[in-house]
Amino acid sequence: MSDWRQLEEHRRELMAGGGQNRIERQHAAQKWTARERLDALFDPGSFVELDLFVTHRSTLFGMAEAKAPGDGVVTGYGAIGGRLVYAFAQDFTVLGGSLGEMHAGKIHKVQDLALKSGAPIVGIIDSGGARIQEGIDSLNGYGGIFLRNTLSSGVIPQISVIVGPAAGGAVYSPALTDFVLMSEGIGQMYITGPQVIESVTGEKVTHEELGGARTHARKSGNAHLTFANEADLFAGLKDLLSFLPSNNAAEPPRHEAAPPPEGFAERLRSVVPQDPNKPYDVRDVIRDLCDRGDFLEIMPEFAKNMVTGFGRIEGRAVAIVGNQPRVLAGCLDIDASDKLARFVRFADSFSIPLVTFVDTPGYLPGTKQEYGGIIRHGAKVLYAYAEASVAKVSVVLRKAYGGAYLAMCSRSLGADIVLAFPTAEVAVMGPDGAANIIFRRELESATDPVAERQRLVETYRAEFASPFVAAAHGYVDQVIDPGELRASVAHALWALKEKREDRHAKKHGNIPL
Amino acid sequence: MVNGLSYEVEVEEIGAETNAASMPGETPAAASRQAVPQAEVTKAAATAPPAPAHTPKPPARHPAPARKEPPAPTAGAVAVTAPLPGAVLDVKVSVGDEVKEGDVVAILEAMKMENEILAPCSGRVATVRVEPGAAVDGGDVLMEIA
Repeated sequence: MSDWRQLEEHRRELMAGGGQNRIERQHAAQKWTARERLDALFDPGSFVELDLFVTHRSTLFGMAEAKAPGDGVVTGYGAIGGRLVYAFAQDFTVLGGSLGEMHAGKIHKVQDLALKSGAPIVGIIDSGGARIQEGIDSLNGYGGIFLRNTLSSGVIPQISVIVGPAAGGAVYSPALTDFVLMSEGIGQMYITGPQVIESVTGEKVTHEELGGARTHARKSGNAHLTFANEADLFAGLKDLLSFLPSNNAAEPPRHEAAPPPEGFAERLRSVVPQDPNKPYDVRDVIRDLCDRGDFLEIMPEFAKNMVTGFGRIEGRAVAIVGNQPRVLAGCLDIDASDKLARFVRFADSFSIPLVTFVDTPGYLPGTKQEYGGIIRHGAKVLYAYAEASVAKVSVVLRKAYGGAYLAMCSRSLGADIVLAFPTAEVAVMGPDGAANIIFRRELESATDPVAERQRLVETYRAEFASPFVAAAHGYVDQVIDPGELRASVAHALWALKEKREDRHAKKHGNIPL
Repeated sequence: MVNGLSYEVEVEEIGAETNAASMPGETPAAASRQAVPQAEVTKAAATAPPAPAHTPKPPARHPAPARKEPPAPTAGAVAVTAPLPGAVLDVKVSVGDEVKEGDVVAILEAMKMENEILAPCSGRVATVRVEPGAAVDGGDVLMEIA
């Protein structure tokens, strides 16, 4: 029986992971070790490691002699900002962070504990992939992670951090989680790597071009947030967690209430141009709604015609969505629909109230969109908003036409409170198109069709392209002075604080995918 | 199936005379095989617009008044493309101007919105391909920044 001094020694050996040489190599690649990452993530001294003594039990292909401290993954729990969070961090210095049976077993264990305890889980990915020597036992390990990711979805927040390779099946665990954070230059995700792609299709592409942070932030939409380095990434992760509840039955942490940045009322009165053809940045409206102007934008580089993110109003977290008139005129397209629907469903799963800013001319026309399936992708927006039972407040800033008006959290889809700026135009379609149809006869018989058309468009605009028809019919609850945006939204959220809306019992709905 | 991708290739029966004139020594079957690498060239060009030695044809659907055949893309230049089909309302820069990433370089009227076209990178304007009033398709090159 060894005494406590030997235990200490034993621990120290195992905590050195793959040893000094490999740690130096990790640092030379501008990467932190698994333990350095956990130190950066958790409150100092709070991380408790589990399964330090676990190792593989494989004997084939020379594995009998292979030393694998902790089997290449560090798992446990600790406090982040005083709150319980579970985590696992793959250790690239031990067998390349490859995932074998016991490595996966350690991950399964913390996934189960996090789910049972109602605590968020963070997965830090830096792995060469499946440990081939362990064959289908390592595959089974991946399967168990995917299963637990799915069963945990909507119960506890799950966050993936990509700070190394994640190739093949390994990418599906991050894809199943709520948020994927990547560090530029070191994090890479792809299903098949550059060599395989070249041998099959002849395309030449680098690892970074194929699956780097920029690619996933801009092109594929697989990454929610990207960072220049690991220090920024872990700081950003803590910021993200501060908006999220620990589980679907808990509230997000309360923060001290604070007003929006000084001068917000004056700015809000002039930010939305009177001229419906002039673009503006909807984020200027959003920042002047939030406490201190703090807005954490999610997926800022992807489908920029749709803005999604988190802010706080009087210290409480809100999920904010807005059409962005400055990109693609604020049209809804396939990517924007996917981005919005997933964000809305996350917010609803965790009961984070939704505030939606509307200014969209409609769904983007074109064969590319139609052939790409804008019908089924666009339907996700309708489904996600209609399904959401969390408090839903909509603010119509300007254009709200036709199907896109309905989609963007309209009263008809179950918005609880609908506010409108005086610049709002809630109508079945834009004045030009509507005038062409309604006044077709007048236009055909006019002696000067151009002047007559202009006159009729103005007639239509004056009569229908305003918030007052919608307000007269009760589709808009309040037309507000833009300077009162903050107070109006805060009052609406206060009135909806205890909102409950039951749905029919069912296994789950069938969202168009 | 070629390289895992399937291509639809139409083979028309053509007279021996025409065949001899256009494809000396080639059978129609051989001509159809030749269609494959061509399809690949087009595909590669579509994914990388500024590929040198390939000049994308302007779309015939929007014949812009007085639009010349676009010159070959400048090597190393970043193309500024139209995000939507629409009409160029204003071009804010001229060849040789210095621009910073995010500067407004043109205004494109599309979807009833005066869309600001921003410089994707900092640099010098190498070419300007459009004039105010020109109708452009989504993806058309408006200018290049080197």
